[in-house]
Formats: sequence, C-alpha cells, structure tokens
Amino acid sequence: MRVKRDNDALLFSLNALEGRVLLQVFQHLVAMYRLKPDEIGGQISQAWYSTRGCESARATPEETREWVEHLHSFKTARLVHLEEWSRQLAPVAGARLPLRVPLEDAPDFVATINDHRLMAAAEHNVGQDEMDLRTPQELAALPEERQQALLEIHFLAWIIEETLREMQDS
Amino acid sequence: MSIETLPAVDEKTKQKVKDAFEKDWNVIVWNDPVNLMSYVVFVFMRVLAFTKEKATKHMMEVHQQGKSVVATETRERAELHHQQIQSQGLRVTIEQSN
Repeated sequence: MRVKRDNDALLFSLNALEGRVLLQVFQHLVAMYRLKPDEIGGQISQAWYSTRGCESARATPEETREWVEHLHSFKTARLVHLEEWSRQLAPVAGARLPLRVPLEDAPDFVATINDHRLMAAAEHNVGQDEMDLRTPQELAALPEERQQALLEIHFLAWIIEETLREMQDS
Repeated sequence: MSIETLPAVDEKTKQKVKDAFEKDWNVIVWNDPVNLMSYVVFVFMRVLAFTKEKATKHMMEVHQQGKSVVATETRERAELHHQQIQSQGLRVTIEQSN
C-alpha cells in the first residue's frame, strides 16, 4: 500500500490482496452500520455504543436512548463514503487498485477504519496481551480466527498511520 | 403600594441554572488497547481543537495513567464533547467534578 497527496485528495495504491481485504472491511462496515444499535451483539455494541458515559452523567433512560441513536447517526452518515470507496475497490484482475479519498473526507476515512479495528478486537476478544504480540511464533499460538482479526487490526493500523501522516504533511 | 416578593426558586430550577453556567463537568478519556496513539492525538486535535503538543500531552496521560481529563465544561458542552469523542471510537465519560 502506498499513499500520496494528489491535489485536494489522498491517493492510495493497493495491491490485489490489500484491496480485497479493504473491500471486505468496507462491505462488513456497511452491513454493520445499517444495523440499529440494539441489533448489534454485546461485545461490538459495547465497543461502539458504550453508555458508560451516560451512566456517569446520570442520564435518564430516555436521554441515553436518544444519545445512542445520535451516535448511530454519525455512523450512518459515513455509509455514503463507504459505498463510494467500495465502488472504487471493485476488483480488477492483475492491477493495482487506486482509491481516491478527498482530503475533506479523510477524517471520516480514518474514523471508519478505526471502527473496524474496534469491532474486530471486540468480536475476537483481542486485548492488550494480543496487541503486544510481536513475533510470528506468538501469533501462531492463537486460534486462527483471532490471528486473522489481529492481522486485520494491524493492517488497518498501518493504513491509519499512513493516512494521518499524509494529512499532517498536507 | 404593596410589594410582591418573587416566588422561591425550587431546587430543580437551581440545578438547571447551575448545569447551564457552571463549568464543573469533566470530560475523561480512558485508555484502551486498540486505539493508536497517533489516532488519539488526531481526535483530540480535531474535536477539542488542541495543539499537537497539548493533544500529545493528554494522549500520554491516557496511555500512562489510564485516563486524562481533557476538558472541564458546562454540562451541555461536556455532553457534546462526549458524543463527538465517542463517535471517533475513543472511550470517554463525563462526570461532575464535585
């Protein structure tokens, strides 16, 4: 994956595997963002829609419900971007895949990708111990699904880091 | 001429006035194992309009001490920060400081 500034946009260039993974990430997020908060499973709901802050703010159940709905609207507002990015990553055999993200949408791009990292960690019970694994041998000791989740989390971290770097430079 | 006295202000109204004007609500960001340090700095700069130095200082506080009070505001403004920061995926709570 490479990213560079192209006038008022960030231009990503991904190889076929990177493009496929990112497309799957976007498609998964589209499906999850379309679900209402109460339709999402416990761990993911906890990661995305935690109401701990409402409790400490002594919010009423009605205020908490409205707060969660509003939080959900931040995610649904990103659907239009996710659909556009997915369209751009539609597979082309043997080619590097370009992804153009206007600079004004870049904050949504990193927040959206970060949401997937949080979701993968919650879904596969990835905590500090797993995040600290550094060698292939340590990784191989985990069940396959958790290995995959962890790889995805680090791959997306790389994209976020590179995106932030380019945003900062611009 | 008779002098009318104003009705006594009830506790609920007093609390509403206090909430509206008193900056005694802390916005607290908590550490978590997944969010990147660079991303946390980015969110602080974007949502709270922190300089990079201030954002980095608070990020390090979150990382090393487990949490950081990133703002102390009126209830309404603290609630706004709460929602904005959580919408970016960070762990955040608000609580009254006294």
